Amino acid sequence: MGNRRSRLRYSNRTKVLLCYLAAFGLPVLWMLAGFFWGYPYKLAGSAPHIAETLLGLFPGQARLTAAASAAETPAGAAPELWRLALRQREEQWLLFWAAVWAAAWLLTLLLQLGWRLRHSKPCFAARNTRRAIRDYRLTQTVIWAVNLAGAAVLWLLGVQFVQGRTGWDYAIYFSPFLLNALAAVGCFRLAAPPVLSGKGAFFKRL
Amino acid sequence: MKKPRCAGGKKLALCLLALALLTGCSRWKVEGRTVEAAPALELLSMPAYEDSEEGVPAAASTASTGETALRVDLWLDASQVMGGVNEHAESIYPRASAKYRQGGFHYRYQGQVGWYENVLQEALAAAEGSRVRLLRAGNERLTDDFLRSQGFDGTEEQLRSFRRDLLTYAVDPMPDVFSSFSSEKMTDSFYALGSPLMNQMERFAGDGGALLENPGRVEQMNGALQTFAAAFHQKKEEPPAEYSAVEKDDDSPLFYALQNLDLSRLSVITCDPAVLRRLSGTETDGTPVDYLEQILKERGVFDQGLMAGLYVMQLDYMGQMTSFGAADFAEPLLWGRPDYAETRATQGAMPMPRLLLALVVGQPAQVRAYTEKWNSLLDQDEKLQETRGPEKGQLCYTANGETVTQQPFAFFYEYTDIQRPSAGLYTQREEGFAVQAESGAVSRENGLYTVRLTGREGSESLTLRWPLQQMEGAETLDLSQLTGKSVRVIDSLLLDSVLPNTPETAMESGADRQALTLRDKQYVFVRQENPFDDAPEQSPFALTGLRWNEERHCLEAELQVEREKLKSGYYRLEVEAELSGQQILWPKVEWEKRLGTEITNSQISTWESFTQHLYRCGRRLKNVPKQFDHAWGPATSKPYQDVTIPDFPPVYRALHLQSLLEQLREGANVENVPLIRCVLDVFVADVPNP
Repeated sequence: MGNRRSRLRYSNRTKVLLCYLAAFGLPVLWMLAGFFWGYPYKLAGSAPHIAETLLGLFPGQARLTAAASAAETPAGAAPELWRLALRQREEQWLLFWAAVWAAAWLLTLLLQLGWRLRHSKPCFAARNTRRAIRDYRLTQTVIWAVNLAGAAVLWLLGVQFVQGRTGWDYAIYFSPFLLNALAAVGCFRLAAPPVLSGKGAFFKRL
Repeated sequence: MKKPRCAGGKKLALCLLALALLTGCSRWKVEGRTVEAAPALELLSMPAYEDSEEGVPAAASTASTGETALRVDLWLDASQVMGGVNEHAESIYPRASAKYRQGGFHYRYQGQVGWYENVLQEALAAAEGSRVRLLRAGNERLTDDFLRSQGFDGTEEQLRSFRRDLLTYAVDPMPDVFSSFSSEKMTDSFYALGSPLMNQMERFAGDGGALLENPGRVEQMNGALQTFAAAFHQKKEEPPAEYSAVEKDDDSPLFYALQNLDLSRLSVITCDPAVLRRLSGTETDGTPVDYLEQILKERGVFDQGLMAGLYVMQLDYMGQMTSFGAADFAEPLLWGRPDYAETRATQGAMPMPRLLLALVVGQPAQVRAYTEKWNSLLDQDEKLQETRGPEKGQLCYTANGETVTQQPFAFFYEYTDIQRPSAGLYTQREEGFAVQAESGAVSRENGLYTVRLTGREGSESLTLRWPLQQMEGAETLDLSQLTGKSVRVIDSLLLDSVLPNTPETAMESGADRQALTLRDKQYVFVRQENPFDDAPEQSPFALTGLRWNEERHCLEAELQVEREKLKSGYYRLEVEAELSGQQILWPKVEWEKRLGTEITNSQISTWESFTQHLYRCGRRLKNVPKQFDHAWGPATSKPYQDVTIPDFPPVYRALHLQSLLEQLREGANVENVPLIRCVLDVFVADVPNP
């Protein structure tokens, strides 16, 4: 039994793929909704000065200096200059937010897929399952930490400076990180390799 | 399969790790700029102010015309009193002799002529190099009907032009032209009513009247003047009443000259104040009317930026005065006479002092230049440095019940000028204009000041300061009585409503409506012109003070802003103040009371009664009592033929001088011209929390 390859059915693979798509697609959809609906209609005009804040942390960066300068709104400037500066500020903030989230999302996906690849061999099933469970707990913790760190960066460098925050700020900015972690949990429990999963097992087979 | 369980130590470690991460995050201070929970009102765009140049004083636009070529009209008073002409057929006084001509201001005794001639010669000399025209303004009236009857038709201005031609005595004359004014026969002199000297068309016939305003009509004008003069000399019939201004209260040679003035030229008008019968009267409906002021306004003398210089000159006079103001004398007053020897032969002239008025009207620059030159020439004229008059106390008169013995006197003159007062126009364009706010920030963009205010409690004070501009015409302004001062909101872009930020409510910003989006709200600002016209009490702005700041040498306007009435957005304010005649404080003329006089109807009646009595008794007694040799003689308690001898009329003073000056000033005065027209923006840069 140890050297025999497990027999995989295509329907099972499709279900696993769909599970991944659904789990990791949901945070992407949430982000898209945040970009095209959430920010313009619930958070418009409240973008933090991210370039200026980053320049404070990493002084002397030419690109950051240029970006901060472009988003600067000097007192007494003409309305048109103000409009341009505000647009720059918003674009910089949205880019930063997307970048932080995308990094977290990618790391989450890679960690989850790494765990999956490590535990796809069908030999020593019982011992392998125990190891897979242990690795799952560790990887899941790291995934939570990564997403928490992403959310913390977003908070520390931007959202904390926004006055008059509402539930929309938290929902739109931080939910994608929660969804990243939950996506990983879903994939761990529902789309585990066939050698680990089974009816009534820790990892369910779809 | 049994589920492996995480050890308790691991759980604790995870919890501690999370706690440490969170604590570390809270400890990690990141410096950053706060994003305000309010819309960025700086995105609002208030349309640029379109500055108009209205309200620029008219004088400024005409000032440049002072450089044009000088043409001078010399209007000479040709009234009978001016020339000492006694028109009465019978008189107890002689009219003339071979040695002297009683010509009033223009008397002549052998080689001695009145100072008036010197004054006129200097007036000509001051205009040397210019085209000078002498015009005769007497008591004859070339009426519109008469002109039309003679074939001179046209608009009012054309009729004035014909009239000026008809009254022209000479063009570019030589200084000796004035010597021909007096004549041994009074009725032929320049000053006689209907004088033959009125018609000078022969002078201009040679070149077809090229020197006249209306060339080519000399023949026609000659005929008209002959017809006109004939009306005064026919024996059977009196001339039509409208041909003469004699004994007409609302007419005088000065008025006639002003009515026919060519406003494009510099005009010098001489005037015997005794000829000014009245300067004020009443219409048939009782409305008071100031004749001189009315003429000045009708002709628009000061509206066209012209200026008037007023001279009062003390000259020598020897002649007979048939009237003094509105008083008409049956027996003329004798003022100044020859010095008679024991043999009754004349041995010199004893003129008496009288005051003559002269008006110089024209562009301010021309008037200033001309008067400066004339003054200089008058000061240098040797004849005008002499003293004249009775040297041995031969002549006296009665004033205030006392005898005044005339002493030799000298020529002098006083001068003042009158022009439309201008204190300048204080606008936001003035160099040095500044706005100061009590707590708000002030900036200047595109030439307009913007005051940035925040907060809705208490009040704010704004101070507008302009450096003082040069004042013309007036001495100073009484700002305490300033009318029409106000601060108006002429334009605004104010927060009108707050709408939910949804795709349906999204709107394009335009000229009349601008929307600012913040989170889930849209702040809609609406532009409105004159938003407080219907309810001025709702305006947050009030003009509380306007004053001269002597220390800073500036004009200050104080605005008070009630913050609680402010709305977010822009207010465009116009501070304005009107200047009316009431605020004008004219320069003091110290000599107007000293040299001027007014007479009452009671005095007129007394003098007329007495001269009537004198006339009747003189005819009856066939000789002149010694005391009436001159000016009714010294003061006496003894009546003449049972009639008390009154004070002699104050012919040595300038009659109606104060009224004349007052009416000139009133004519020049302003009626609600802008003093301040200043625009600034107030930007309320915050949105109050709901």
